[in-house]
Amino acid sequence: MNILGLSFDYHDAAAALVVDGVPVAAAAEERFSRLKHDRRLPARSVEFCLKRAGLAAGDLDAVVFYEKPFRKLTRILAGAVSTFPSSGALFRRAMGAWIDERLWVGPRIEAALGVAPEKILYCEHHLSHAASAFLCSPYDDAATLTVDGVGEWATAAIGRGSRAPFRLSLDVEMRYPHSLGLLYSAFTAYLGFEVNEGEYKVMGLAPYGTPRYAEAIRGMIEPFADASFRLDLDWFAFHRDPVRAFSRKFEDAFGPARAPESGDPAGDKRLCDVAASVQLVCEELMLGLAREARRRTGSPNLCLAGGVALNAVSNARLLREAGFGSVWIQPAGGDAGGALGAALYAAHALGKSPARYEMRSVALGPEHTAAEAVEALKAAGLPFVETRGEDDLCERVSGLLAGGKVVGWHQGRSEWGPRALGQRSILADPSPAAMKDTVNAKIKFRELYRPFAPSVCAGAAAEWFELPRDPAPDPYRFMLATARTRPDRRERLAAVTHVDGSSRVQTIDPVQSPLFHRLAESMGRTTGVPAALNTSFNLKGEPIVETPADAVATFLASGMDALAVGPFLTTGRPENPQPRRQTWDSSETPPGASAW
Amino acid sequence: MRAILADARRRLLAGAARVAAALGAVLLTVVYWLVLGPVALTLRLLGVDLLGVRGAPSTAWTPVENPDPKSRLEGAG
Repeated sequence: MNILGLSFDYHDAAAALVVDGVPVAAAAEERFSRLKHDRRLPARSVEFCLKRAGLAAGDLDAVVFYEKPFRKLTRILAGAVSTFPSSGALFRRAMGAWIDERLWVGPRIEAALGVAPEKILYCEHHLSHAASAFLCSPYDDAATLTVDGVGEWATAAIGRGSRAPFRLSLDVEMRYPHSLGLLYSAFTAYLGFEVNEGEYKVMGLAPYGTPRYAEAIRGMIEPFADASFRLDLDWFAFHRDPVRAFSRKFEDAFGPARAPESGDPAGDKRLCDVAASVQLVCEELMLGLAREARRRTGSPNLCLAGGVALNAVSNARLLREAGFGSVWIQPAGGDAGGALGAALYAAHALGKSPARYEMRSVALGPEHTAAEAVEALKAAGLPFVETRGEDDLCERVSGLLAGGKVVGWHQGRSEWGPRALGQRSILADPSPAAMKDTVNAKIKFRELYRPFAPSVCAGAAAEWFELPRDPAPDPYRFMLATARTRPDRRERLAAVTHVDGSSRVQTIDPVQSPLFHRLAESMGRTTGVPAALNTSFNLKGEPIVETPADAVATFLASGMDALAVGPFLTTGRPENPQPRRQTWDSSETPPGASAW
Repeated sequence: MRAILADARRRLLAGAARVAAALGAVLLTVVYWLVLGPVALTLRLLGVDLLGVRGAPSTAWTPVENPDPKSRLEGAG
């Protein structure tokens, strides 16, 4: 069976194609459109998925949308009714968007793909998340925990899955407006970051502070013995305001909110303390929810998804403290991942005997030819050499990195999910402390306080980091959890060790990522550290690059020293460089659209 | 000539979109006060708690119904 999963209309539109139970292609629309968090119907992602599989839209057995839109509408109307008369602006904004497009999900899919209406199906939001984790995991049976801002009504759900016979159920759910994701997003907005984009900046800011506001934040929450909770809505505005997430009471307690993207938040102790406090409370709530999932299901395995599952610090605590023997986390934990989950769920619900699938690699995106790379380099007037195979490429690149150069790395199929894991990465030497500032300021043009991640050979990871066990659990393969850098190694990993001694480690598997592993090995031979500083191949505010032409454009727009696209390596610059481009177009996601 | 006509059409459509947005906002405001308002006040008088914010429950978990997997995919609501 050929099943296409789709997510769109909110943020991070994506498409995923599952053939006989196995994902063959998946990509977020932003990679093609160059609009960060592009929310529109992912026509280009669909085109890529079908082309990759050699299919036409007529070959699809089903197209599955990742949530139930009418059920979501009932929640928005209930919210507007319950907060009358202060929800007028929210009602107008939300209904405008719904009348314009969101009510017509089915007809829009029909029009875009030309599929019959009876082939269009709808999978509940949290069921899509749960499927994206369980049906990609190695487990026969597992508990599922999904936590995000909000889907239709649910904001978190505990369920269980089994493969034979197939069953994936949600046992209990917490409902809007009581939401860990929306709590975290309210603080994201308060700290001056964009909701649905800046949550990881809050996580990165937290180690600069002390959690002195944690008690005040706990006071916003009414906890129950079974780890569920209700939010005290006096603190929030997201349920009645289309733009503002927090109420005046918030600022009375924590001081004035930071103006969006203003100044250096790490230089303001109060803001750092607020970030540390909400991060701590988030970890406590997630641990509680995970332990409750364990208690309810009795399973030793946990599958985790939803936007909050991208909180790497919380995940690290969960791996150590939640009581599960094994944890698997969907690398595309946000709404984009819902497209894959919806397609996988349908494949198992409708298919006779779908193949068993385990996600060992996230390389599900497009791949580009050598001819495309050459064309992009030539078009930019860049001098380049063709390396003599992968060993030569890795030796040359590791030599550049060891010499303090920053290298763009564009190899193979692009990654599924928000993390660059060695296919579309900017690489640097992880040792010199100054490298962090260099890459932040000269390459990415982003806030200086933000940390970078190390990618390390899986076999050597335990020598450098304090991992829960050796070999590292699966979430480390996808850069989904932090670990402490061993104290005696911190000097050698100064550029990738955060102020609290932690790192968001990626362990590189030699089988799944042979080229990237070879590069890290080469770094080990050259510098003594089998790792590289690895950050996503983009500039601040832009999607990760997709094509060689995107890579060349970003290379030219930044201060990178070299670029490796496939086997081709350039260290030069054109004689008449183009003016540096700051960003592509900005996101079309409306502000504050997280809840409606 | 064709370029001039295309430009005029683009401007006309943009203007129409602005008028439609303004009219939509007016209509939605009317709906909000004349339809949602009475519904909201009635529900409030009846003590209906749509968002689960009142009372003293012992849990915030709601049990989920799990129909068979195939029928679960049917329908947008």
